[in-house]
Formats: sequence, structure tokens, C-alpha cells
Amino acid sequence: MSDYTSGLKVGKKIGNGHFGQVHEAVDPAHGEVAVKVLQRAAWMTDAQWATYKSEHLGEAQNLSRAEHRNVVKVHSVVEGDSGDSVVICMAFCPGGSLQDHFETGPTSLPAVKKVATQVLHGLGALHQRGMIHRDIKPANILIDGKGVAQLGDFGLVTDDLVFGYASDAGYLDHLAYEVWQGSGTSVRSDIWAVGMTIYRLLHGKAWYDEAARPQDLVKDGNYADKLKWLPHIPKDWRRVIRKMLVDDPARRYQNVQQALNGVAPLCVEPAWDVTVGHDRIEWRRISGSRRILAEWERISDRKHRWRVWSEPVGSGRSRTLGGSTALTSRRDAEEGLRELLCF
Amino acid sequence: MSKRMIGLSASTDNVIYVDVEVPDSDDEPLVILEDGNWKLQKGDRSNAYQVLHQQCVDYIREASIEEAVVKASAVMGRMSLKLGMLQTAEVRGIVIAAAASECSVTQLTKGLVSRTYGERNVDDYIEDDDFWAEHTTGKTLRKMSREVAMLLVAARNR
Repeated sequence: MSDYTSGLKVGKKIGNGHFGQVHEAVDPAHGEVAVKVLQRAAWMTDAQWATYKSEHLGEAQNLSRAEHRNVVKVHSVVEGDSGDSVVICMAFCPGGSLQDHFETGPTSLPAVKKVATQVLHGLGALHQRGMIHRDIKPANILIDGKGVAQLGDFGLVTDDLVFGYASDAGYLDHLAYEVWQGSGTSVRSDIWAVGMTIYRLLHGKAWYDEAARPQDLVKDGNYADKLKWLPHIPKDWRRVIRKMLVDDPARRYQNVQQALNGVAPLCVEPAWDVTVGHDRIEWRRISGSRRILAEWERISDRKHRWRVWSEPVGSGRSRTLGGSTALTSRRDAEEGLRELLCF
Repeated sequence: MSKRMIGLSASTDNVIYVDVEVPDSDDEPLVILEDGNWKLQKGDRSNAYQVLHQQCVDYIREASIEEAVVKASAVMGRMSLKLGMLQTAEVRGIVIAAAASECSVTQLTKGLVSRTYGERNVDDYIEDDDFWAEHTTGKTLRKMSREVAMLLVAARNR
């Protein structure tokens, strides 16, 4: 690593990408930074690598000149001495990426709304500069020292690389319908990826993994109508996400300003703390002096049981708010819970 | 040289913006580049104001807007003060501060435009389709945005 940039002290590895690794580092001018080293992938021909390198250097240099509160600041971009790498020195985000949040479980409505708004602000700035991100997903949203979400990882600068990278790196879940049909990426395919990111954050990995993967469904069309929702996700959120994920780009939000207007009126209450387990999902929140709880037991594909109740935070009696009187179908359980969890 | 300007009008929970290119020659129509609105986020207004401020700053900065014209506060007759008016004034303040951090800002009241532009009342111009066909080109201007565009037409002629 020492041959890359004089004065840069590279520390431990903090992330792994398809093209290379991300390390903590200390830069004499900027203090604590993150250094991403993009290595030439084995499958790249000389021509592909040369194109990738020059486009990536160009785009990263644009980013290094552009500052935005919701875009990870790129301090410098240099080519490695060996010619097989590009080194990007950027702001260090101590809050890590939202991939960890996604893997932990569903994120609350207020937290997702805040992230979605901030990501859209950053994306809007990129779009107005004529750039397409192409790789919006929880892992590429980083949290800075003040808890502000920032868009990072600008690795996919050409459409050819989207498929080359995606096929290996699992990014296929974030490819819009028209990209599968060969139309290429655009402002509107970035908005599709924002919709998928919002959906994933709201549901968490355990729930997301229960359904067929988007990469197996999106290309067949009507993916927005096939989404499986946790019962507490309100109707207005579902409508906005569906609009971002609709197949026809012309029916999607056409730009970030429109998407922000879609997100603006979304309700953030009730803010449930949700745990998704294999056979049981639990919801918790505090309302005044009482704790509201809900659980959904998934005994088998056909047998379900649910209940919602409240308990005093201190002493007092529990109160049943609703529930199934006997084993019921999944559909009935979802409808019953939705009625009591979204209001 | 042409100039990039934006017209802004605030209400309780919404800001209408009209982004135009003003040609050098006064005879040429305004080129409508964007006609949209920024909705105020639902819920806590302090957060909503922060979001709106950033949205406004971002737009003006990234579009390299040189001048903003904001529809100014005005009291007509003996209006009783209502919460909505105060909230509109708050939103207007956010927009003025955001715009002023990136470009020069002019505030115009509808009354002032009426007194200083043309022979007719502003509302007459707003209703007049031929006027807009003559004075604007580019993207479609929504009828609801004509009042904001009128600020730009008037500011251009000042």
C-alpha cells in the first residue's frame, strides 16, 4: 500500500468490495480517512480496464470537486503505481453502512424516512451534475459522525460494468425492469434502486430473504405488485415504494424532486420496534404510560396465530387489543395485524 | 448574456418554484426550464424546515441560479391573523434564507407587480393564455405557477 500516496498511513481493512478493499487511513491533510483501492478484476480485458479506469478517475475527480452534505467527500483519486489499481481517498464515516442496519432487522419509519430524504438529496446533487450512481443499496449508504446519511461507492460508471459487477456481487436485486430489458441505466433506474433500498430497510434481511429474490422476479415484470409487506408498513409508504418500483419508467417519479415530494407526506407513526424471527414476528412500542405489543406466530405455511395487547410500563393490568381466536390463515393474520398496527 | 433565475412562492406546506433562463434580449420569451414544487415534510416542522432549506439550497446551487425572486409577504385589508398565515411566513423565511445563501434575492409583492408592470392587473395577466404563449417557451408552465412566473416577468423588466 505504501507505493500509492505519500504521507497516507493505511490502517486496518474496514470493508470489502468486488473491485477492491476499503481501509481506514490517516491522511496528513484530512486526518482520519477511508481509502478504497479498486483493483482490476480478473475478468476485465485490457480495454475494459482502461475504460473503467479512465471513466472512474474522471468521475471520481468530478466528485472530489463537488461537495454535498449527503455525498461522501472524495479527497483525492490517484492511479496506483502498478497500473492495475485506482486509489480513492475519501471521508471516513464512523457510523458504518446501512447494510448492518438491514441485516439487524426492520428499521423504523422515522429512521427510514430520514435516510430516504437524505439519500435523495445527495442523489439529486449527482443527477444535477449529470451523473448516475447506478449502485444505490444499503451497503453504499454511509453514516457520518453526525448521523447523516451519505451516498458512497461510485464504482459503476458504465452500464457494461453494471452487469459485469452485478452478476458477481449480488447487485442484481437493485436493477430496474428496463435495465433487464437492455435500456440502460438512467435517473429513473437510480430512483428504482432507491425504492428497493427503502423497501429493504423497512423489512430487514430476515423478511427480505423469505421471498424470492428480486433478480428472479423483476425481469418478468410487475415486481411492484409482488412485494411482500410486513403488516405495520402503512398504505402511503407502500404506494410510494410501488411508484418507485413500477416497471414503466414513465410512471415512476421522474426525478429526485418528485421523489422527495412523494416521501415528504409519509407518516412516521406509529414507530414500531420490530423483530423478525423464523416462526415469530414481534412488534413493540411505547404509547404514553403503556407498552403496546404484538406478535405473529407462523406455525406453518397454513397455520398462523396473532395477537395485539398492551401492558402498563409500571404496574397494572394487561389489555387485549385484538387477535385470532383460533389458528388462522396467513392472509387473515396479516389483515388483522395491519388493521391494528397501522392507524 | 442570458441569466438563470428562479421564482419562488411559499404556502403553509408547499413551495412552488419556476426555474427559467432569461434571454439577453427583452423581446425573447422566458425559457421555462423547470416548473415544480417542494412539499414540506409531514410531522415536526423544525425537521421539515431543515429539509426544505437544504432542498432549496441544493437546487439553486446545482442549477447555478443567479437570482431568486420571492413572492413577498403582504397583508390585504383587515385580515385577521391565522395560524396558516404565520406558517406561510415561516416557510417564506426559510426559502428567502436558503436562496440568499446561494444567490441574490429580490422580494416582490403582487401589488407592486400590478403597479409597476404593464397596464393591467396581475390577475388579468395570469388568466391570459395568449400572454403566456407570448412571454414563455420551453417546458410547460402549469396554470398554478403563472403567478410565480409573473414575478420573473416583472423582475426582468425592472
